[in-house]
Formats: sequence, C-alpha cells, structure tokens
Amino acid sequence: MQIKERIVPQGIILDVVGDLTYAHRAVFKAAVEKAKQAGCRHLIVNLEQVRFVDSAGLGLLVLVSQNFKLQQAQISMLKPQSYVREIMSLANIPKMIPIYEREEDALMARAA
Amino acid sequence: MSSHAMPHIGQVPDSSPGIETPAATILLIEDEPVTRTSMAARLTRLGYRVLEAENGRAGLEVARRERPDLLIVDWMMPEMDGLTFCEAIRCDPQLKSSQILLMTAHDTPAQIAEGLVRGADDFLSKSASKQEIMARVLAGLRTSRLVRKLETTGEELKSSMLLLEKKQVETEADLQTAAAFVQSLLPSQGSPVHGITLAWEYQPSLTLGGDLFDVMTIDADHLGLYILDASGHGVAAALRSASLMTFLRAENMLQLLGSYDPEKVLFEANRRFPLSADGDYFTLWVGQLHLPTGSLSYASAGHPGALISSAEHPSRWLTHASFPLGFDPSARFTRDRVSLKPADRLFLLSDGIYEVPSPSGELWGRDRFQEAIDAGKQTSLSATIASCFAAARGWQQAQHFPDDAAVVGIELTDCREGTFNG
Amino acid sequence: MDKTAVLDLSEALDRADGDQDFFVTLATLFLQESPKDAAAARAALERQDCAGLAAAAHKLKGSVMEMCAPRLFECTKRLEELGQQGNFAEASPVCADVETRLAEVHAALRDVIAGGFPS
Repeated sequence: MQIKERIVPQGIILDVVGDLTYAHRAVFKAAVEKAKQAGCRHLIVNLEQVRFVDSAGLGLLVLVSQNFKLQQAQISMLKPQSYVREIMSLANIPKMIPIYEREEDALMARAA
Repeated sequence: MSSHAMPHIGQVPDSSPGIETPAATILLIEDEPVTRTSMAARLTRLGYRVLEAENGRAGLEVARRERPDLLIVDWMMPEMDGLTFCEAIRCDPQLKSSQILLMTAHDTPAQIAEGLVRGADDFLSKSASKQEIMARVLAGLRTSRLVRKLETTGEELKSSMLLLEKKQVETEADLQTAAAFVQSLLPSQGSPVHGITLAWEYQPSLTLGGDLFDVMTIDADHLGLYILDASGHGVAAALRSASLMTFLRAENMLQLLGSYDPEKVLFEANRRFPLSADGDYFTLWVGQLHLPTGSLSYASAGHPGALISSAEHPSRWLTHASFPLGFDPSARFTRDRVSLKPADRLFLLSDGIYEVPSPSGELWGRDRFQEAIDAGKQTSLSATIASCFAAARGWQQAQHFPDDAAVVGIELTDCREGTFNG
Repeated sequence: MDKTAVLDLSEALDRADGDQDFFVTLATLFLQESPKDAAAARAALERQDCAGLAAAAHKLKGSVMEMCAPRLFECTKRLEELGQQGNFAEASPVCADVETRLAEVHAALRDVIAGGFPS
C-alpha cells in the first residue's frame, strides 16, 4: 500500500493506493502522524484506489477520527469504492466521519 | 612416527607474550625419511606445528585423533598411495572436508587432473622454493579455516533450527490446548430447551478464533443469544473475545441488569469495552427470545450477521447500521423486535463465511449466502448450514477460510403457549 | 644447478635455510637410509620386479633431491623411468651407475660432516 500526500490550503489529502489493512497499518499511521506534526486541521483520506478495508483498517480510521476530534481537527473520507462504502455503512461510520464524492465538497467542509 | 632433531616451535613467531595465537597444525605424510624430515623442518621453521606419519594408514589415525588444519601427503607411497589416502579422507564423515596438499615430484596435467578427481585440493612440488611452499600452505590453511567456519555455522544453524522446531511444537501444543478451551465455551449442539433446535458450524481461520457466540438459557421463558467478532486475528483477538464472552455470560448480565435486554446489554458492553489504543474493537449482535411467544428482541453494535428465514417468505437480514463497540462511548443501540413462528429459522453468522474470495478475487457475498440459506429450507437446520459451508468452500475453491467462519442456526420447532398460524 | 656436479652444497644448504647443523642431521639420515633404497632397487631388478624397482628408485630419488646431488639425481630418475617401463635390459647398467654415484655422494657428504662447510 502506498500513500501520497497532497498539501492544499484547506488541509492535507492522503491519496491511498492499495488495501487499508492490518498488514499496512504502519504506513497509514506514519502518514497520519506526519500530517498531525504538520499541524493539519483537516485530513482528507482519499479511498478511490482502495479495494479493501479490514477491521484493523476500520479501527485505525476510527482511532484517528477520535484523536483528531480531541484536537479540534477533523477527518473526512473521499470516494470510497462500493464494497468499502458498504463496510463503512454497516459500522455506521458516515455518522462519525463524513464521506464525500467530490474533492471540492470535501475541501469546502468545515469542522462541526 | 619419527621425530627429528629440531625442537618444535609451538607459537607463530613474533607473537607478543601472553597473547597466544595457536599455530596451525599440519600433518605430513611421507614414507621417505629424508624428504619427510626436510619438509617437516621447513614447515616448522615457518612457524607451524608439524605432525608426521610414515604411511597412509598411520596418517589416517593421526588425522582422526588430531584433526590437523592441513594435510600434506606424498603422491607415491607403498601400501596406500597419496591418491588412495585422499579418497579415504573424503569417505570419512569426520575428515571429509579436510584440506589436502598432494606432494608430487613433478606435476603433469594428467596427474593434476587425477589428483583433483580423487580428492586432492592442491599440489606441492617437492622441489618447490620456500616461497612457493609458504604460498600453497597459507592458501590451504585459509581454505581450511573457511571450511571450518562454515561447518561450525552449519552446526550452530542446525541446533538453532532444532531448538526452534521444538519451541514451535510446544507453542503449537499450547495453542491446541487454548483452542480446545475456547471450543469448550461454545454451546453444545442439539436442543438447549424444548421447542428449539440449535445447530452450528465454526471454522476458525487459525488455531484460535476471535469470532465467538453463545446460546444461553436466561430463565424459564427466555433464551439469550449473541455473536461477537473481535477485530484482527489470532491469539490476541481470541483472548479479547474470551474476555467479552465472560462479560456476556447470562449470570453476569442477570446480576448486572436483571435481564438479557439486548439494548441494555450493548450499552453496558459499549462502556466496558472501549476502542483499544491499537484500534481494536468488537462488533456484537445480541438477541433475547421469549420462548412462549416466539418474540425475538435484538440489537446490534456494528454486527450485520443476523438473518431470518421463514417457510413462506424469503430470508431477510436483521440489520441496520450501528457503531461497533467502543466507537462512540455515548452510543445508544436501538432495540428491534421480530416474531418467530414455528419452522422459522434465525441465523447468526460471522462475515468470514460470506467474505470469501473466488480465485479471481470476487467475494461470495451476503446475497449468495442468502440464496444458500433459502435453498436449504426443505432440509434440516444442520444440513442447511453444512451446505452453506460447502458452497462457500466451492466458491473459493479451497478448504480453509481466510477469516473465522461461523454460522449458528436456531429453529423454532413449536411454541409452548397456544398455537400459531391457527 | 650444475647437472654434472656430485653435490651442490650451497643449494643444499639453502634448502635447509642456511642451518648447517640441520643439514648435517639430514645428511646423516641420508647416509643411513640411501643404501637400503639402493639395495632394494638392485634386488627388485634381479627378480624382474618392475613395480618394486620403480618404487625403490623413486624413494631414493626423493632423498637424493634433498641432498642436491644432481648427477646421482639424473640417473636415479632414469632408473625409475626404466622400472616403470619394465625395461630391465637398460635398467641394469643404470642401476650400476646409481650405485657408483651414490658412493661418490656418500664420500662427499662424509667430507662435509667431518670437515665442515667451506667458508
């Protein structure tokens, strides 16, 4: 799994390619940590190229979400594929982390 | 063995006092005394410890006893010539990697070829200059050291391997014991109470599984049921699951809540089991069946694996989106209700049974699982579950499931109070 | 090395790394052993044992080489070859040569042992 970082005026976009799973948790954690260190207020996780998220991946996203909320920052998700979207829905994730279909919409969102 | 007048110089020259570099040992095998004496002296002068033997047989004995770093053997000797000696060394399991220099009067290519084939490592001419002798001997000793180091490393590797294998066997045995214990926590097959048939099949992905379930008698009128899924795999997930299972025991809930009300059970579990620092969590579905009426109340924390199948209607999922345990500490879990009639079946299942990929990567999926359940309506509960597992295995074209696969089936055989459906 | 010389002393001493005492020890050993080898060669020749002849000649040749006695070395070498070929006819006179030249070398060595090395 690879993560590319894009710095935009509104925050940081992480373009994730591959599977967000237990095996790749270190890569994801490192990217998030880096964004935090940079003082990111809005982290957008672009899941367009992510085929699969396992329970560890889901747990990580939730951890990051809880963590960011504590720091008055926010995280959003972008363009999840249909299967990933289904997993997220069953776990009620959209109630916790906003999901957007278009990057512009994600960028315009403000923290609650 | 003959001795000669020169005293042996045990140490390498110029070594500082107190720092002992053991001199390399060279075994010289030569039948002609003058040549042997001369060569032995030459080698001793170069700082080596020299052992001598008059013939091949004596040479083999000394070699076995002393394990010299290098063997120098004459080509032509009575009884056992140099080549035969080389062969004997190569046949000896303890000596076969020794370095052998074959002493020749003159080296012809044919001799060299034959020597190499029969086991010599290098050649030394009897008329060689001191420099050449030193060079050949040094080269031979260097190789000897390397070979010995390799052999030692090989031995060490072998014993490490043996140790590892032993530990692996022990760990495996421990895991088997743990797995047997976890298995013992699962409900027994058959009927927990009159009017209910219970069947289940469980395939943990590794020796220990993290997806666990139970069907319990709460009181005379109530059955409690749950299925849980710990994120992750293996021993860690299994341990966490066992911990939640203990919490979910009927006796514990009765003490804590006075009932097995699914909404309250989830509320308590959500408080008691937050998201771990590593992002570990549980999904959990809890139900309570009122036996006299067949009324099932249930609630879910992110666990989508509950399916109702009845005789007349197609099966449907008892699912709506909800947070797994620990995602939202203040979450409330809405309780739903459904009425079960005789011959109705409730299935609790882990996602491991339907998230199996075909060789091309396509998942079997919840829809196809549903079809398998519906196809089994006319067969027994256990036969239906067995056919689901068979269909899943057929789909992935493999026996082993990558994730814990569990399907629990409960069939209402009759209701105790009155009759239903007229 | 001068192939016609009876004994190349400087070469022989060089072979012993200049150790005169050691050379004397070696020479004494040669004086002791070489007659046995020569006798073994003669006996093998007489019973027409080519393998035995070659082996004895080879053994003698080895020790002769240590002494750096070129004339003796040459004919010992020849005797070994003839023994390997089974050529007893030619071997007979060569064996006689070996015996003669061996006596010469013995004499030269005894001189060195008794009189010391030329300075």
